[in-house]
Amino acid sequence: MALDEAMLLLKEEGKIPDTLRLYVFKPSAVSIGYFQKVEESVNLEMLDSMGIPFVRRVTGGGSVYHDENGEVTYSVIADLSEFPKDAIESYKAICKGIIYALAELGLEASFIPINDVVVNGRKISGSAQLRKARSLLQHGTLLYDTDLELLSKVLKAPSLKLKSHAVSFIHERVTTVSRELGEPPSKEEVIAALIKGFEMGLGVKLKEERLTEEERGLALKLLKKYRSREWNFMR
Amino acid sequence: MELHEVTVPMSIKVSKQLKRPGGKYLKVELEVIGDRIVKLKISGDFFAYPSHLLDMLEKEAAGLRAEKEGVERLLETYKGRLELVGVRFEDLKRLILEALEETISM
Repeated sequence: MALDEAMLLLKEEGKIPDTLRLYVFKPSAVSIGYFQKVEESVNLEMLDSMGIPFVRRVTGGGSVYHDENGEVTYSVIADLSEFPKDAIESYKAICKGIIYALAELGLEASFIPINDVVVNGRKISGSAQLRKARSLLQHGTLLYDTDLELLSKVLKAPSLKLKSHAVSFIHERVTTVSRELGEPPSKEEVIAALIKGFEMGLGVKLKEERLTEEERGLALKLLKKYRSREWNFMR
Repeated sequence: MELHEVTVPMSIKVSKQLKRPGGKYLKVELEVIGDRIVKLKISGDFFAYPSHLLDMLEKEAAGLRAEKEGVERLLETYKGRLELVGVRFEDLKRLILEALEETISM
């Protein structure tokens, strides 16, 4: 999370190129949206008992379970001017990368406003965006073999939200690549599919690079905030 | 020794929530003590651009007199500057004013 924010801040200063970052949380963790209340979005007792940490994101949206062995997180850090001004249209433009990645893995997916990618009517990817004056950060999740039972135990949805979704459990409206294909792809296959998917979706040719010292340094400074109780329990 | 009766203003907390089909969840919590708003908290899984404006709105509301006109005036200053995605500005305004009205009538 600290690195995503660091990259956005550096992009805003024009110090880094447009970037796609792919990463995996280790150990498994939960992230919650900037405006979410902790007690309404995660089961704290369950997290404590399982030793799963949680962190508040700088972006809005809902809570996400980042399964070490079944989820890849992506971040796109880019010039704002390269994407539609309308928020939902820009989500759609970036989510094309996920849709192409899922096609690479053999699944037909579609974008459902506001920020979801679904396969057979079930959510397989969610994204969240933060905008600065000149740049944007969109990060999101691709569930390829997430433990959905565990996901439904550690995440909470407000009762009003569940009612409007007309299902009682989170895991009934969420799916994974593994569940849809009948067998799990490897993490490496998912990462390769995401790289190809974003190249196709964004119409770019990506070049693999290491983190710069500046990115790493700024992320280390921001880490203190993301580790603080003040930040994580702000709501 | 002479005893005086002292009236301590009561804290009144009201929360309102909303989730439109296809939209995001929005919750407003308002706390009023006496004739003053002491806390406004806005939460949910929506998006707000720029996000710091919502934090600012919460801070600016705290300390205001607990009356509709002043709160409406404050909210009007955010209209057009604060872009909400997944919830409508009018819904946010309605929930805050409904919560306020309930604290006044209690």
